[in-house]
Amino acid sequence: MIPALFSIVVGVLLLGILAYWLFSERSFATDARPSTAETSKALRLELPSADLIERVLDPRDLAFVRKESPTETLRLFEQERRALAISWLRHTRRQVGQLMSYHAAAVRENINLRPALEIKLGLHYVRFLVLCELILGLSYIRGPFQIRLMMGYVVGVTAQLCGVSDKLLGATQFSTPASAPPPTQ
Amino acid sequence: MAKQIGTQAAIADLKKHTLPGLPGDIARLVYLAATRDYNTGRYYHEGLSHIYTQEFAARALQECHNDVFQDLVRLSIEDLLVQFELYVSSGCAQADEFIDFWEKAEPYRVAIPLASDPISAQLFNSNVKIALAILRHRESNPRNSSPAAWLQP
Repeated sequence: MIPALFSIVVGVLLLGILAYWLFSERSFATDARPSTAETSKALRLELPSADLIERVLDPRDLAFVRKESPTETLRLFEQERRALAISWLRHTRRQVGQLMSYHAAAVRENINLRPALEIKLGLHYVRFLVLCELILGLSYIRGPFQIRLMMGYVVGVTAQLCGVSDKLLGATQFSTPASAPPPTQ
Repeated sequence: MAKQIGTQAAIADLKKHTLPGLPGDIARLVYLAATRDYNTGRYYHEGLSHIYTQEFAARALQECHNDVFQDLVRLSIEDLLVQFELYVSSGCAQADEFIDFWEKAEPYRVAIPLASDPISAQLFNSNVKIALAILRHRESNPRNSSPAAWLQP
């Protein structure tokens, strides 16, 4: 009788410890998850707008400057546009980098990881970084107006990245680039 | 809420009475930037402050400044040139004098609102620089330029 009672007490104690452990883990995981306000704050990173890069690399401007001005002005125009495109790209890369750092910090201690989505996010990020480097190189080799379509692609990948991160962080109020068009090739 | 209404009324007043009297968006940008104190960045307009209070007037000027700037940033170079033509033909200065001064002193850089993002500001500066170069080219080759009338005495 006594050994049976002893076993029941030990069992109840173990169950209690297990329940306490589970509860504390869950509440810790909940605390580790960023609040909506934090997420919004983190994502109010001001990704440069897609409209702006379309304006920068508008081929009508190139045609007009080519028609209306001497070679040195055309050269100046191309230099200016290249500098602008690079600024836009670096700014976007910096903002996405901050988003990824924030994401990494937010999910590091979260037990509710979604591996498939995390891998997807990682792949999008790698694709984004490779594209950025490729475009930077190409802008010097082929000129700013030849990278226009690839810039559209960067806008698309950035939107996808923000979308996946949005899902993972569980916040729906993220502001992804409002006018981001689908990737173009 | 009252703040919003006061500011909106001041904006409507500006848009109805003051801004339409100015020849084009370059003139509007220069005008609105000139209502901003060079030392503090605060906007001030005596007439508007008298009617709507200093705070509402300042907000209205700031918002209109941002709007005009955003409109200009989104213009193509061809349309920006039209705005420059309007501005110069309004008699603010002789064309060559205007181009010289704007190329050397770059006063357009201080006409940018504080709230604008760095890429928009860079795009605006770049477009103005190119537009001025085209104007300079048109001035020295009046026969080759399409709408050359504005430069003729």
